[in-house]
Amino acid sequence: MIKPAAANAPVEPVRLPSRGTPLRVLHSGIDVNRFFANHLQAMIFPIAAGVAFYGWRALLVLAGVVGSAAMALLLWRRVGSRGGELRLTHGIWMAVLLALALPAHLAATETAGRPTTPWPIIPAAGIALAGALWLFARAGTSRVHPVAVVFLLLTSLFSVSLNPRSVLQRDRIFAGDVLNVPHIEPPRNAPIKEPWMTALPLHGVDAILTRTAAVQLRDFTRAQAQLDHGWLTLDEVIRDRLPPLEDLIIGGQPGAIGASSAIAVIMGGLFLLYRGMIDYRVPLLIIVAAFVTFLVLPIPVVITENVPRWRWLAVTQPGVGWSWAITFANYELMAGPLLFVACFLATAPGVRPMTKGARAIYAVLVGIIAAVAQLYLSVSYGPYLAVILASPFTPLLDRWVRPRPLV
Amino acid sequence: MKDTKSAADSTTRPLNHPTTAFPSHPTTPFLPIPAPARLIVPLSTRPPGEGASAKPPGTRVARGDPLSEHVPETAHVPLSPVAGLIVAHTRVDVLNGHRVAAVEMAVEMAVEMQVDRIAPPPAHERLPRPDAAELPTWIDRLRFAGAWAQRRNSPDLLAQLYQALRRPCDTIICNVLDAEEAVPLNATLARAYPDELIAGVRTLARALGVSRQIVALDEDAPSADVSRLRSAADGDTALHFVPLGNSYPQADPTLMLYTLLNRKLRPGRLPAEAGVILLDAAAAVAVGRFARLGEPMLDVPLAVRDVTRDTTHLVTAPIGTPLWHILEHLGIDGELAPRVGEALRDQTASRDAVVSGGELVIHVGYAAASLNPDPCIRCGWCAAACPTRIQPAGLLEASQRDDQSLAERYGIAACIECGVCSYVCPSRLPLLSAIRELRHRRRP
Repeated sequence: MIKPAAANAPVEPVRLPSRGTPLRVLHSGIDVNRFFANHLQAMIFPIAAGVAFYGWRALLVLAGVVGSAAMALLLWRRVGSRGGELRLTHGIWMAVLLALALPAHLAATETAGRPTTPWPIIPAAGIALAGALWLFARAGTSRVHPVAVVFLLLTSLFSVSLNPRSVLQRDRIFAGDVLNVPHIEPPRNAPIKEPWMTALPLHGVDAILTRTAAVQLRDFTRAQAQLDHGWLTLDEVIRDRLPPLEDLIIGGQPGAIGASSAIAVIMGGLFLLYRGMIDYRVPLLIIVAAFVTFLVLPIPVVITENVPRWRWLAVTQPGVGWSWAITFANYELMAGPLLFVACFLATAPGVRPMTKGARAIYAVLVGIIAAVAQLYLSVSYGPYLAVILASPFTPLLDRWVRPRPLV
Repeated sequence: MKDTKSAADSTTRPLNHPTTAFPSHPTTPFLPIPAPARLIVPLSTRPPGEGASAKPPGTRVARGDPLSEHVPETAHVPLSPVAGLIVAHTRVDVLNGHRVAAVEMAVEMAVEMQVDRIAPPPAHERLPRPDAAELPTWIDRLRFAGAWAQRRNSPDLLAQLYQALRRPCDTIICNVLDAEEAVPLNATLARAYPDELIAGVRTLARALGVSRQIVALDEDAPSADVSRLRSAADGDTALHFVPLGNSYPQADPTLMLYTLLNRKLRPGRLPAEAGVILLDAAAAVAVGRFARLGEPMLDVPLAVRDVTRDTTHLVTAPIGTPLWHILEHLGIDGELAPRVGEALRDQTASRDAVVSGGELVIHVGYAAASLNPDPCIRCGWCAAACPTRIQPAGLLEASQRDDQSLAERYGIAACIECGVCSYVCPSRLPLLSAIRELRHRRRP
């Protein structure tokens, strides 16, 4: 006789507790929006530093660029099939990057001693960025970084207006007005006497005027520096004309909103590393390659009568020991946006290669080009130029440098 | 704390059910699923499976009787998991994705319930200790015991043994790793049946004459479990217990061989090609039970994970039990979609598929919502996460272009289809299905 086995009633099922993190779903849950949102979160560190050192005008610049870019993106999204692929989160991330590359004094109707009204640059930057995003295609597929392109465009058009000159005093951080400065501008070769952290406050003003380290370095390496007594040596520049290195580390000097504080930029980069958003090879190798290149490329160790004497710092020169050479390279690393570009722009998907080996080559390439551009063109925009020049090699690197499969 | 206690309770509660022969231990954590009224027992491990000529409908078979009169020399002999009546010849899906010939049986309860009254013989008494010369004999014994395993992490056992006849193997690996901590099938088998597991490894090792015997354990396995296995090995110095970092998909044969022996094995090829016999804990226990007790493989252990309730059921079921019956028995929602094997491999299965020597892990959850993927943002996470260092995004491009040479350049041959690339892709691109599509086109 055949009986259905199901008649044998089972006991209740054995239930095992779940331990650890079960693979409950078929996806990690990090989608494109969260990917870009993570990048935006990392911007909090340089934004905070920017607002601290340049006050509310930094926030205005940020809001202005992001707002105008967002509005322009909403329009561009309706233009053609490319427009449909524009992502608002990606656009906002790019807009924040661009805003952080600009100085805070742009948020003003007029600037003393300057011929132009700077504020229209802010919406122009946002609108130009949206156009660049549309032109260079959607997120990830563009080999040209739109922020670098727009920044260089703005620099070529408004180089004087983009030159930062002031930073809030220590007791006026966050709340001060970066344009509330003394009326007397310091002389071009005025020596930097005290670090920002310990400088005595100037009463009646929020900010202090000073020439940036980037400008001082550019003038020296291009042999355009003003000579005090017929000659100028490298050690004099470092000792007398550049701010203390700790000012560059902290950010207490005029500069771009997000790029002047090395510590804030590094913290943002570490956040991205921690969240797995970027590959450590890219920023690390950019910095290492640039540092080595600064030591290897010839620079004027002495300028006499505007005639520079070019030397390699890697080969010890009379009067220029290793300590000066390394200090000079440190200044070059932190005086401009090199760290900012290495952590936030050069690591962007699309411009950097996909494989580890190719990324290493790309990073070295960016580092070398950035160093060359900083030494012989400009500290302020050299790293942006490097990203634009190196990123076209990305497809080739992806094709040439492929990882070897396991089997 | 509460979880730990309930886990301990579940492993010590005695279960004794007459409907299955698998839990001869009184302390098994596996819940026996009673046979349904009809079983559909597969005759083969792979399609078409017509090589085995089934007994005619109307034939009454006892538990353990062969269901076919003739089987190909290299295939296992399908056995009747319960006493019953052959009703029809048919075809059925098995849980390794194949559709094979099968016999439909009506289960006869009265005969079946007598089986477990037979006392198991003392260990190592019923069968002689094999030696290397007896490998063909042992292969035949395993065939006639209905022993087979053909799943992702335990490739076709009989095929491996046949290959070992032509190309001697020097190593046997028993994989006790579980892909997911929440689905601890292999770990639980090793905990509940250490003697059988070790006996299975030793039996095959002696028959093969291998110099190395490895039991690959999760490095986080409780020390009590490891001690139990060591004590079952009884100081055998030829047997090595190797702890491994168990991050998914370490249990895959390609990665297992590379990690343990630094040998390269193309995905889909038999480990015997690399001089290794690889089997998982379930296969080792099946071989060990036959070697020690002479018990044929009539039931299989299964881990059924109800993703919606975050619960795992460890069960045993007679070969040929339809999946719907098991899910119904466990009270799992009939609308949920089953997936077999590791969850990320995303291998869906029909609820009418039957259990056998195929995949033993079943995930039941909501069907994946059809999503409109975003364009690739070239984040590179797929390539960074790939355990075999291929470029899944490139393979997607090759699939879209239908370019096999491009696919070769991006390393399709090394893909183990673990699904990690699809898991991490922020754009939710169908990377895994694109790779499968490429392979499908290559092998029409």
